[in-house]
Amino acid sequence: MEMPDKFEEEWRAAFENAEMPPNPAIWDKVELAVANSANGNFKRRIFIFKLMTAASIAFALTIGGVGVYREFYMPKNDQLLSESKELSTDSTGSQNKAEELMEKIAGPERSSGNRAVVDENKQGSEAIDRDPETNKDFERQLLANSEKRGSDTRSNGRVLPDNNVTNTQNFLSL
Amino acid sequence: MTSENSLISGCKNGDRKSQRQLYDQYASKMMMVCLRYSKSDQEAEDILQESFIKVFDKIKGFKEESRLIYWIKRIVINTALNHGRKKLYMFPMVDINEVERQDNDDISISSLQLQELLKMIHELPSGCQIIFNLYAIEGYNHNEIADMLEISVGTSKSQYARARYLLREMIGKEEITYGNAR
Repeated sequence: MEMPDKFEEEWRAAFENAEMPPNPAIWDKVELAVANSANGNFKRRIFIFKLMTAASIAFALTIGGVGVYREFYMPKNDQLLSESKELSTDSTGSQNKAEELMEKIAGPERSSGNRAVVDENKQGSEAIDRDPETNKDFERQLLANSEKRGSDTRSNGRVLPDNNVTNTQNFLSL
Repeated sequence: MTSENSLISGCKNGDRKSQRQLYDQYASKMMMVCLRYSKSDQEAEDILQESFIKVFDKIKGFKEESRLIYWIKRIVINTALNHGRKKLYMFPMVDINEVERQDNDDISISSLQLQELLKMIHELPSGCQIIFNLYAIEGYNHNEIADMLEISVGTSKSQYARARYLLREMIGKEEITYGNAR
């Protein structure tokens, strides 16, 4: 254990109650620094409060916006359910709608052409069913018709869709 | 409630009057501590200013387990050591050969003025000055000093021995001067 000797005791005693008045300007600097620090803390608290307020408002607006959208703009579940039921029950209507849509896409002329071929095929099959003897005559007639239609379309500068020819060939192969 | 307690409570609440009272009560004592750890009056004033700013900043955490003066003194010493560390970084303390202890009881400082003693402390090398203050005047042991300054116990001891040797030499010269003057 280190024990202080007389030398250390003398030094300790000499400075024990020693005082030296400081420069009065030091207090002014201390006071200013303490005031600035207090202001800084207050400003920091104000800033945090403002930040929290802004965040709360933003959150409330978001929640409110979602609520308004769901209430006024988003389709209700009941409505969606009834629409889906209508779609599933009215399948004929939807088929008609699909056909109408196909007509719109393909155009009126093309669809009428297709219809004509379908009608011819129908007639042909009916004729075959009635009398096999008329089959050959009908074949010739059909070939003549198809050639004529081909020359018509070529003269109009249009090419008939491939399915017309295919339909005719299918019929002939029967 | 004692006057010191009311002073502390006022300072904790940021009361400017209480802060001023506390400063007036302890500033002179602390200025002397600052002077012991510094090389000039200007440096001592800087340490004092910084210390009191810390005191008012940290007083909310003061537990009143120790006396207020010791708590303030500890802050002043720590601030002074931080200032001293900058110098010690430039001129690091190293182990020096143990100076032979000269237990010459004839050498006494009782005849010397406080200002003269302060001048002698200022003339010590920075490392010796800090360790002399901590060991001889503050009363810390070498283990505590080694922890505080992050140095070895041996360095603390050798630096203190050098400080003591240098001071004895200075005191001897002063006594000779005094003897001649008489």
